[in-house]
Amino acid sequence: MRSWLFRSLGKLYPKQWRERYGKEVEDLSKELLAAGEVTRRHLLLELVSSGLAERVRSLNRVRLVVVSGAVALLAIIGLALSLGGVFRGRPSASPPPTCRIVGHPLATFAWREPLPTSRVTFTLTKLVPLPGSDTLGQMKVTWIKRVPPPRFMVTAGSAMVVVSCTGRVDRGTLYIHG
Amino acid sequence: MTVEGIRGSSDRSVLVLTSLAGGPKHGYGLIKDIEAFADVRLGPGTLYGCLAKLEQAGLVEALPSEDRRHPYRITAAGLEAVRERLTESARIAKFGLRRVAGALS
Repeated sequence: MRSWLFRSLGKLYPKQWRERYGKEVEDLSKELLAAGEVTRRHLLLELVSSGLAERVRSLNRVRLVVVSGAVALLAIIGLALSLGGVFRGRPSASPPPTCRIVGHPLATFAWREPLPTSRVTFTLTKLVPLPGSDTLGQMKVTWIKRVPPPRFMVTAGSAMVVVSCTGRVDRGTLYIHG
Repeated sequence: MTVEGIRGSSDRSVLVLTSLAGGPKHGYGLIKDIEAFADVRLGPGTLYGCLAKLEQAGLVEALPSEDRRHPYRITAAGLEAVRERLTESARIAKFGLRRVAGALS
């Protein structure tokens, strides 16, 4: 393993620790590698994990709380973004500009991105112009994991039309039929 | 780290102290010795993590060395700490084995 890699790995460790033990760890690692006592992959993993452990150990309680909080916050943001990706395929609050009404009760809605195909159950609500009408109706989309096709309900006032997807839900266009 | 400190710590610190109780060793010697008597292989990062904690606690100390590898030796406090820890482990092992034997009979 090359010295630059050890130097890079060394940055995982706290500075004080690195200055005191870094060279010894490097020498020992090279000795173990030369003797065939350890594989490069195991050594790499071990040095990374112990470096992170030392880094955590070096934090005092307040910093540990702050760092843990930041990590938790990043995890939450990441989760939210990934869930946002799931819903990115949904219609926006206003009909997409490419929305094309081809007649009631048959309608075609353009989709910019593929609908999620294997996600947890979710329900979306949006206002869409009712086919053949200027009024807005409410469309609920319920998608259940591994239970295609999705079901759509278009409601306007007391009127409700339950429609189901008879076509393939794919990137670009979603076909719904009444 | 005190005697209380290593009581709750991982067994790795005890393994390192036990190895050093047999005489000063440098990193490679420690790894091989621990592997021989405990069948546990410590990685370099883990080993020096233990040594750092133990040295900070005054349980081991680095000896001067001509090359970059420092031999480490256990201190009197380290000997006392590991003695207590091993005595406690032996007591628990004895008690546990008696119970297990009773359950098996």
